Amino acid sequence: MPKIYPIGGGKGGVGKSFVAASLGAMIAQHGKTVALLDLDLGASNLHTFLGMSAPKDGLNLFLNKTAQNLERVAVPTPVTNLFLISSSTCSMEIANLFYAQKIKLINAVKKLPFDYVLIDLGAGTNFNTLDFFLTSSKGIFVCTPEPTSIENAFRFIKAVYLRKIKQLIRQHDFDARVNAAILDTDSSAVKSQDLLDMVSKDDPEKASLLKAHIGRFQFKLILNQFRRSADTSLGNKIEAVCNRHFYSPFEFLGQVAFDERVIDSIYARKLYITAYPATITAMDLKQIAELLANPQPAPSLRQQAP
Amino acid sequence: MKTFENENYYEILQVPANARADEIKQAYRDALAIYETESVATYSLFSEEQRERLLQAIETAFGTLINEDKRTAYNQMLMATGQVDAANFSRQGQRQLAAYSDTGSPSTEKSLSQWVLKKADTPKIRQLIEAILSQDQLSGLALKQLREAYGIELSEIYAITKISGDSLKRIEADQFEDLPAEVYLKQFLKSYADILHIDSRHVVDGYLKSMARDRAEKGAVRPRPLL
Repeated sequence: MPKIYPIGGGKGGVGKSFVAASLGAMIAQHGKTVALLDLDLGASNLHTFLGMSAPKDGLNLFLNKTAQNLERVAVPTPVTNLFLISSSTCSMEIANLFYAQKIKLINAVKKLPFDYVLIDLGAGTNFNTLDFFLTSSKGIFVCTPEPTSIENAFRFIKAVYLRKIKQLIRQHDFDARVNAAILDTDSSAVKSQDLLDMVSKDDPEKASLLKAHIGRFQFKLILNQFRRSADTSLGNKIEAVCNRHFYSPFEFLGQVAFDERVIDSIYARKLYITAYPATITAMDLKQIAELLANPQPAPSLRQQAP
Repeated sequence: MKTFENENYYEILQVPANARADEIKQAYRDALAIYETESVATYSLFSEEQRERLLQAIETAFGTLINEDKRTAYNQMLMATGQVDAANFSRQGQRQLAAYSDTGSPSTEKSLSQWVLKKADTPKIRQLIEAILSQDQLSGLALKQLREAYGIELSEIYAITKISGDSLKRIEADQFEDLPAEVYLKQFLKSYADILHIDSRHVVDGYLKSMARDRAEKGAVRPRPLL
């Protein structure tokens, strides 16, 4: 089973695809095989970040059963060891994927014969996005240091928790009141934390079951488009706050400096880290890629605690 | 969402049971920087009510631990109820305050700045600031009084500005003959004034005027030694 890192974060335009393309390329340069999976369904353009034109085929062949295996639709990229599974050729209505197709896709992702799979997700918290994020316990949140982006990231984390808790409650025998609460169609009224607190009061045993499952998440955070004026300890603060108030461990992977030339590289149809390898932004990305490629990184590579 | 409900005051402020007063103060400022309403790190994470409760818990914890009598009583309660082992408190009082220790990290600067902003509204501070702004000349003593009213140590100023404690002491004591050259002095005063959130131009001008008057009174301007 490959190491799977879904990349999400709630808000659009924070650089999820940029981060996915850059980290994928850098991990591949470490000699690992990497599949980039574009699951920003209906708005996919990961190929553009890689400096490629849209592949002729991709996910559509797998979904319409022309290709038996998901790896068959992976195409090579300009970077050695890096492959792309694009959804740009899927139908215009791909964003509303059928449930059975979604399950089939998730199961296929878990069996992909690559060392790493990076999943580029879309904005928002729709069920498809949340379920793709839950393909692995090691999801990465990308956000920028702005309040709007952080707000959406927290909402995304809570939505992921809630989605998982709902799955667990459906799978296990829960109190009728809890069941009623989660099956309420007005689900936005139920926050994951409230649910946990509710279960804790009524049924401590079930609550510890939920907490044990939730506790297996190891979400990671990247602060992208980091400008010099931003609070340099922000990432560590968010990490500390999440570790203190959520029920699973969080890891701040690092910040990525803002660079206007990212846009230039997109216009030039070139992978940014190839076009501008000697920039602070590229160095930042390299550090993060090393953290992901070497599960036990050297202490010097880690962000300094405040 | 986990709150501070089952945490004792030391755990809330995330300090060891034998923490020094300055460590408690720093931890309190750090906590405020994270949990206050304007904090970006927790933006939208808590409901207003939750945030209010968290801040209240931080205030209570700090109010107790920073007061020696209250802290002693609280420690005894923790020991009596078996929550904290007596050994954890043992080194208390024996640890020396590391003079002018280098703790200059961005978070120190940020949390100090938030602390100052929070305290700037208290009547005492406002009075001191108004007194300084209303006068044409400024003595080092006025700066010292303002600094002390904020509860800021010289070591904390050093940690951010890297102006040595000796230089700061001389500035505060109006030891004009021992001050650094004017070009440095101006920069020092500006940094110092910025930390205290008081108009730095007024501080620099006022201090230099006070220095000029002192020299005029003493009759002659003594040349500064080269070193």
